[in-house]
Amino acid sequence: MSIVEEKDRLSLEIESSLEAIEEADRRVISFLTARGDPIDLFAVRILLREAVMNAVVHGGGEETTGCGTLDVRVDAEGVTIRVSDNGPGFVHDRLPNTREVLSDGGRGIPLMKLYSDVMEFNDKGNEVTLRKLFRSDDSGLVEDDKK
Amino acid sequence: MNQETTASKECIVRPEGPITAARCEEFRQELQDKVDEGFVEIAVNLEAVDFIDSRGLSVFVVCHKTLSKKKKGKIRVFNASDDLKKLFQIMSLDGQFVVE
Repeated sequence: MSIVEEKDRLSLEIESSLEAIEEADRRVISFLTARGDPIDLFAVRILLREAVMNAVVHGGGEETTGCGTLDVRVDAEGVTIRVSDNGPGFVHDRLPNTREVLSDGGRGIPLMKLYSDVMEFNDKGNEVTLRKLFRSDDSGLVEDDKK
Repeated sequence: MNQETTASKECIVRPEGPITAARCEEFRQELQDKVDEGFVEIAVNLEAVDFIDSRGLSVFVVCHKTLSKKKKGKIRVFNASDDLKKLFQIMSLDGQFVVE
């Protein structure tokens, strides 16, 4: 696994396995915990895990080598998580505005949207950028989504 | 994973660690086994669970639907951390089964 760790940045290659999600979680949380920033770590775990899971599921195919990259950067206001994969992408601007509460799946993107302050996809739909701001109340949720 | 029976048709399941895509299969199988054994109410003690992802939530939902549709039973979650309560709440699952 290729890893780059700097003072305000952690970048690593994502392998095509579900264990890669666990590994990414461990490394990012260790990185952020050591920094001690006032960030909602549970929310960050939701964001990076769901984003990496999408990369593993949709970006790796049957390959066992790397299927994408995870890049985490910290600035004065928060944390930015960017996950890109090698897959074909998807039509992200046609996501339904409502979701079936008891659907068997399909909660990954809604969770990313609800736990982030900003969620953006590139045009192809194979790269997501998630922004989580430091919060004084540390609620982990966007105000509008608490209703 | 620890389990205990509290009544004739209710059991308690106590998973440990995260319930995630890479870790949820044992939990899913445990719930399925309880359903197959005839339990109609399954209480899940989350005191030893620190994190649940979207795949993990789906395990709860599928079990809940199986219990409610086939046996008019239910799933109940208790001893959840504040973060996990919030997770069930934000996905509107606290309106489908009890989360304590």
